[in-house]
Amino acid sequence: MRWTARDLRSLAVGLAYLAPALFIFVVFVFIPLGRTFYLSFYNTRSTGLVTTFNGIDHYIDLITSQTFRSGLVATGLFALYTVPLGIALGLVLAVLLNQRLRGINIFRTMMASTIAISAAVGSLIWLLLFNPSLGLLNYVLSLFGVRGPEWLIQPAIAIIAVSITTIWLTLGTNIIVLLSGLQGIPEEVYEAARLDGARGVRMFTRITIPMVSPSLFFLLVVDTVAVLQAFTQIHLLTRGGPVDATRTLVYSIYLDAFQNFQFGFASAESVVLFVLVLVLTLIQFRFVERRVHYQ
Amino acid sequence: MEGKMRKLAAFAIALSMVAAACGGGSPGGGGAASPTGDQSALAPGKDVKPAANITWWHAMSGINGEALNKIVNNFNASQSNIKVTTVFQGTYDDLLSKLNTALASNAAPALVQVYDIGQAYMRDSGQVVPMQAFIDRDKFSTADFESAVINYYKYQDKLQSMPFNASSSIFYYNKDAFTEVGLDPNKPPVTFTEITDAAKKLTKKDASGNTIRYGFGPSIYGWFFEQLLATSGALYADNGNGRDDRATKVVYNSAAGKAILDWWKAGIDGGYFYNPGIDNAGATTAFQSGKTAMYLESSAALRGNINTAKFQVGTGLFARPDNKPANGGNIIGGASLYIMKSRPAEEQQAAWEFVKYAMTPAVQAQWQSDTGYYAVVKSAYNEGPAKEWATKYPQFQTPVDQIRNSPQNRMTNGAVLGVFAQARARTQKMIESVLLGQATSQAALDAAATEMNDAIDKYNKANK
Repeated sequence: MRWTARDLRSLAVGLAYLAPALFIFVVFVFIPLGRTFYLSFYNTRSTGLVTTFNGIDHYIDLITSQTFRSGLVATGLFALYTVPLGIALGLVLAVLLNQRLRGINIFRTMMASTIAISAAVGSLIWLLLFNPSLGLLNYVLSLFGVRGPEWLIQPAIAIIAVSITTIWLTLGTNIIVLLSGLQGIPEEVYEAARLDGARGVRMFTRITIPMVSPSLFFLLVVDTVAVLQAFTQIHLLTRGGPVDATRTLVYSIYLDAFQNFQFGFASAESVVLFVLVLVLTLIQFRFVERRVHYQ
Repeated sequence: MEGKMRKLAAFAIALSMVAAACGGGSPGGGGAASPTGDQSALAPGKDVKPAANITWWHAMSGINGEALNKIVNNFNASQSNIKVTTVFQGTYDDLLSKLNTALASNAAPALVQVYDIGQAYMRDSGQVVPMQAFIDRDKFSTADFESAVINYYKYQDKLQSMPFNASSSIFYYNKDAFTEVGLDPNKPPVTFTEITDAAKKLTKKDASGNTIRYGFGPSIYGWFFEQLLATSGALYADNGNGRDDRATKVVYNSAAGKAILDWWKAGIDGGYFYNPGIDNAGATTAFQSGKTAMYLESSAALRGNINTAKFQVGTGLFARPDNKPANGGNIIGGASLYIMKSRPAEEQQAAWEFVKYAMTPAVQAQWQSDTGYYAVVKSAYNEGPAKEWATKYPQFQTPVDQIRNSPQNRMTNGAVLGVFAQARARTQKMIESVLLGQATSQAALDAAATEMNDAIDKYNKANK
C-alpha cells in the first residue's frame, strides 16, 4: 500500500498530539533504560564516569554473589507476604463496604484513606508503631498479655514488619479498585443466581469472585510490580537489614549505586530486575488471565 | 511512588552519564600536586576578587541547621562583598550522592560539607582545591586547632578540607539507676569487663521474668566498631589505616576485632546487653526511656539526652579493652568543608573567605554552644558562649578531654578508605550476624573482610 499525502498528514498530526507524551517517555524512560543497559557492560569511576568495557562480568559477579541470591529470596518472600494477603484483605473489606447502609460513604472514605498517605509518611508512622521502647503496637499487645516481638531486629520478623507496612500502604488502592469492580456487577446476575438457589459462600465464590476477577487480575499485576519496586518503606524501616533480610533487589540497586558508587554493577542489577518484572508479568498474563472472566 | 523512585534513580544515573559524556575533557583530571611542599600554586591568586555570591551545601538538620544558618547570616551581615547561600541536602549520604551527580553536570557549589569518612572519596574525585593550597598561600596558622581533629583530616600532612563540626563518641549512663543498684554514680565503667559487670547489676526483670531494663544497649553502628578498634590500639585498614598510602585491604579481622565482637555477643547472650538494631535514634530512645541504663553515642546527642531524660545523665570515656592499651584512643567524627575545583577562581576565593570566618574562635564558640559539636579551635574555649556552655553542661568536658588525651597515631587518626560508606554498612551487617547467632565472631569478621577487600580492589582499580 502506498502512503498518500493525506495519510502522511494525519500521521504528522497524530505524532504532534503524541509529541509531549513521547518526549517525556523518551527523556525519562527510554534514554535512561538504554543507558542502564549500556552501563551494565562498563566499569565506572565512583563519580560515575565510564572507564573500561567489562563485558558480561557484572552479570557473572551478580549471579555468583551470595547477596544477590539472598536478595532474590527476600524479594520473593516480600511479594509472597504482601500481594495475596493485600488483595484478599482488600476484597473482604470491599465486600463489607459494598453494603447499602446509611453513612457507608464515611466508612468507605476511612478505609480508602491510605491512598492519600505517601509511602514516606506511612513508613514513619509504622516506624514509631514498631519502636521497641515507645511503640504503640507492642503496648497494645501487652494489654492482651502478649509479648510483642522486636519487629525490626529479628530478620524473619523484619520482613513481616515491612510487609505489614506495605499491605497497609496499598490497601486503600486495593479497596477502591475492588469496590468499583463489585459495583459494576449487575444486580440481575445475583437475582438469577438467587433463583437458582445460590446463597452465602457459594454466591461469593461462584458469582462475586468471577465477576470481579478482572479487578483482581489487574491488582495482581500492578501490586506485584509495585512490590518488586518498593523502596521507601525498606529505606525508612530497615535499610535492607538485619543481615540483608529485607535487602530486596531494588534496595540492592540503591545501595550499589548510591552508597557504593558501583554504577556499572547497579545497572546490571537493574537490567536483571527489569527482565524479572517483565517475565513475571508475562507469566501472569499467559496463565492467570485465562481464568479472568471479562463481561 | 516506589516505581518513581527507581526511575528517578535510573534517570539520575543516566543524566550524570550524559552530562559526563558532554563534559568530555572537563578540567581537573589528575589534579593533586606533589604530596610534599608548598601547595599555594593550586589556589587562585591572592589578588583574585571574591565572587559576590556562593552556595554552600550542608547536611545539618534541626537545631544544628539553624545554628549553621546563624553563622552564615552573621557572615553576610558582617561584610558586603560576599553573600553565602546555604542549601540543605539531607543526610551526609544524600549530600554525597547529590554531589556526585552534580559534579558530572558541573552543578556543584563552591563549598560543601562532607562527612568524616568521605575524605578519601573526595580526594580521589580530583574535584577539590586542597584547603592546604589556601593555607600555604595565606600562611594561615592551624596551630590553634585541636590536634586530633586536624590530624584526622590530614592526608600525608596536607589538608584537603577544613574541619568544621567535630564530635566524638562517648559513654552515656543513667546515674539514678547506678545509685539504685549500688554502683558509684560518679565512677562510670570504662573497660569491657567493667561495663559487663555493671550491666549485670543494672539489668532488671519483672515478676514473669521479662527484662524491663537492660544494662547496656549501644546500637549496631559501624562507627562504634571503628572507635572500639581504635581504643584497642588496632588498625582498621592496612598502610597505616590508609594514611601512609592508599589502603589495599581491611585488617579488622584481627584478635582485637574478635575480642570486641566476643564481648558484645556475650553480653547479648547473657541477657544484660540490649540490641536496638542499627537504629541510632532507637538506641537513644531506649536510653532516655529507661529501657537501657548505659549506651554509646556521639557527643552531639548530649543536649538531647540531658533535656529529655527524666534522670541524671552521666558521661564517661568510650569503652576499651581491659588492658587499656596505651596506644589506643578515640577517633573524631563529624564533617569538614571542601572548596570545589569546578567553580570559578572568584568563587573559590569567596569560599575561602567564609571558611576563615567560620574558623574564628568566636564563631566556633557559638557553634559549640548552639549544637553540641565541639569547637575545632582551642581558643574558642576562652569565649563567652563556650564558658557558659561548660557551666551548663559539665558533662561536655568528657568528649573534649577524651579527644585531647588520645595519643596521636595511625590507629587513633582513623582509617581513610574510598569505600568507607560501604565498609561501615558491611561491618554493621557483620555485627548483626554475630549478635543474632548466625555466625561466629571470627567467621563474620573474615566474611566481611573478604567482601570489603574485593570492593577496595575494585575501587582502587577504577580510581587510580
